[in-house]
Amino acid sequence: MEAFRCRLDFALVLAKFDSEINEMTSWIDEKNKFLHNSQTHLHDRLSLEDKMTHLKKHQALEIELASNALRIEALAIQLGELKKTSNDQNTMVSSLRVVERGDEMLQQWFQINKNIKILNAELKEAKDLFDFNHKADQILHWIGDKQCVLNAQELGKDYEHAKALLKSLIGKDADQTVDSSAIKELNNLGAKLVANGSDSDSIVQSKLNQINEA
Amino acid sequence: MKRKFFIIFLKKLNSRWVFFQGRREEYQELLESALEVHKFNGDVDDTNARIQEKAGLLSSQDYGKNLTMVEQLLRKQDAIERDMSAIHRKLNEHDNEAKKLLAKNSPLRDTIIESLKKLEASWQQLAELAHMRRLKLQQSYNLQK
Repeated sequence: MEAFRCRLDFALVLAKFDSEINEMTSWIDEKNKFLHNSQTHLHDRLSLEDKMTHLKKHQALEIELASNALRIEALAIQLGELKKTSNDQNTMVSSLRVVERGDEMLQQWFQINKNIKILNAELKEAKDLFDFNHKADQILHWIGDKQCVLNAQELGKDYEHAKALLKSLIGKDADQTVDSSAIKELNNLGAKLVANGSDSDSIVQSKLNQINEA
Repeated sequence: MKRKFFIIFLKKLNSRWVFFQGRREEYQELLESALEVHKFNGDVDDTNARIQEKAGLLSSQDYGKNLTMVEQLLRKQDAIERDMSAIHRKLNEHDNEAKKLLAKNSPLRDTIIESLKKLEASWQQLAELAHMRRLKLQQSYNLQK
């Protein structure tokens, strides 16, 4: 009777685990299809701008993968335990099938992580451009904002007010998001893109217009 | 050819940055000078408050009802006039400070001049009040003697 109960408990654990494995397998499968599509498109001589669009989706996928890593880790541990336990049970056939599916799922997981690294390398240039674009935007907006303060030439109503204005300009709490090192970083990134012969007319041209209008 | 946009963009951005930094430094210097002027105006306001306090004391219509009281009031008048000498020295300090600030071409020049004018007017009023009160106390003293 007790042996029967044990087998029932084991069957329940196995069923739950199997369902989790299935769920995770189909999730990985779905993401793999997306990656596969992405890889196919990358061979279509995409412009850098299109690659950046891919990169954004790719970055979102990376975040999704990272947020599931712990769950996979837990499933891998459970799978290891099941492998040990299934040797002592009579339900060998069904548990072996689950173990098999679990191994397949883990293989797919390793594969998708590997694929994403490959894709990452292919999109590196796009990433540099993406960073360049982002940093340039940040710098231009920052300078624009500060320019408004400079244009206002406010000298304060009294001593305290003037002191607060000075503090917000050069004090500890002053907004130092952009400084000489940020400019240097952008120059280095730009030099790298130039050295790689990057083609990104529309993006950099729009930045040029932005800087001309500012 | 396609790389030219990067190069032009970075060149423009760098010169914009240099220009911006220059303007920021200018504004910083201007603010620091404004801070000096605000401090000056605040100090002048403090002196003005002291003058008003003394003016209040000198505006009293009490000239003493007997000789003892008149003598008391005259001693009080002497003390106020001694305080006024100290205030006058402060006035000279303000004057020198104002000259320095104006020579430095400080911002908010109008406020410096306005503060000085206000101070000068208050001082004249105080001096007049002191003079008048001394005359009246002297008259009262002569009367009670």
